[in-house]
Amino acid sequence: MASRSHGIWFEVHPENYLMQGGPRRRGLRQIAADRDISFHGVGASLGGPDLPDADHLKAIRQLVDDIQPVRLSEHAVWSSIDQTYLAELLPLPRTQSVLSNLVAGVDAYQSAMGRTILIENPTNYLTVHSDMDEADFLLDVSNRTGCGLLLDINNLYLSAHNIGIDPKAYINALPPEKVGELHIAGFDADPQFGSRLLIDSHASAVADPVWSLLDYALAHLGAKPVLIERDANLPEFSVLEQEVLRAQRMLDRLREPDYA
Amino acid sequence: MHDPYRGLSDFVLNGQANGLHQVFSGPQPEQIAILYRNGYLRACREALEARFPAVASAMGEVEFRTACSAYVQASPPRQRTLTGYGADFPDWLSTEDISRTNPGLVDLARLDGAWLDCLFGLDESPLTALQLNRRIQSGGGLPVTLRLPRNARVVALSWPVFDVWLAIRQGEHNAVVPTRPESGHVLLWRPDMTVLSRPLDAWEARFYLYFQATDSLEEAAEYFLPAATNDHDLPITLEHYFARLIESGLLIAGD
Repeated sequence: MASRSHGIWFEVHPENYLMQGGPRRRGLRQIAADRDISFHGVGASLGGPDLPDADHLKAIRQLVDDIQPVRLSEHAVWSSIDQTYLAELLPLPRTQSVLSNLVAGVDAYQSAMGRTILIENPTNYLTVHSDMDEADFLLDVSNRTGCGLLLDINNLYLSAHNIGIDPKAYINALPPEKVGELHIAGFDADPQFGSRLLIDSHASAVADPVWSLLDYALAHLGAKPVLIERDANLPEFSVLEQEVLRAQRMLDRLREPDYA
Repeated sequence: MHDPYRGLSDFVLNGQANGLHQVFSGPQPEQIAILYRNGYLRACREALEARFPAVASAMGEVEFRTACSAYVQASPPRQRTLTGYGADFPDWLSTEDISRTNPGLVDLARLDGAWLDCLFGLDESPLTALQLNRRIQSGGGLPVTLRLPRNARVVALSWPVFDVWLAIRQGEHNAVVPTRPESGHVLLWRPDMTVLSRPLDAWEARFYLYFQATDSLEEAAEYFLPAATNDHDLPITLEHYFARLIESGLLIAGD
């Protein structure tokens, strides 16, 4: 690996590293010695009916202290009820009552970590009952807790496609200073519904419309750390590297002086 | 009237769709919400397959999938990560019909589970002969306490499946689980980043179990009773056995 200054950083789900020891955890330490690492939690159930599990938060905090990630993020979803973990990023109805739960969950998480986090917009496959739109809902949580937002461009594109929201209006509603990170990823058509329903698979190359939406987001939000999520059907590293370079060129353009 | 959380969790956990309208607008939300239920079941099954690869191989895909579905229904995940999911899967398996027709499966599951627990257990540096020599030469004597690594596991077996388990883990898919019971023990430990394992004689099992429980090599040594048979390949003196413990990376200096 090249030096840390080269700019490439990695993101992991901390839940995959909560063991006491062994090669997986040692590997993470080795990567963290050379590269910036960010943590992207999937198990806290921030918006669930119960507060995040205290033992889980304690374990995450221990890993944070060990690895010292540059950023912490979680999802604006829920995934546990009655001490049962549902292992899915389940959508939240955007009501005042659920908003209070999410605020309490983010407060508990940030308190346990001793630092602020970013919360990520979900992929929507169905329209949830709501009193407010998603951007306002997340901004309200941000204003009440001090957390930032992780804008997943792919999730936004899929939500727009699947349930018919306006992705550019969504981006325009976000104050740039609230957004701390961007995600892009590949998607796939649902085997049953075909292209009517697009699934956030992280198993394909980033599609052109997602690149375009990233371009639009960067123009509105300014330069932000961009992560390419790829969990399955991994191609040759050179293919992934081309995606990284494409994202880097988009970021570099924002930093070029405007001589026009 | 359903609580929206309950409406969705009932569907994810049990496939009961009547509360989904509390969460989603539009007709027949279950047609798409099945994504969440399938995702939950798949995640649990993949976690079990990752933890119990020898069981999955021995059962075959269809039977393992059926067993996973039943287990997930009986014992859904409690922790907010699936890395350790299935700790009681061997005990659950022992109560199922399949363990009566194929009783070695339970012991395969115990070995699989112990292997992963050992892999994910505490990292510790075992005492080396060089360290021990230096210590003795400098007048430090033996460490005050010597104990087994915290990642070590002693697994009790009712069926002689250790060789089959090893073969499956090494990619042999036609290994046959024995059909006659024979009790035994297996020791698993991880001196560095690789899990090691070996079967134990009856006296060794007592030795290691006591050693593990007491953290006292001195007390455990009372259980040192090597077999007196001429062809036994174990060293016959406690000194030789102590050397073997060091060579194997099985002693941790506690002071």
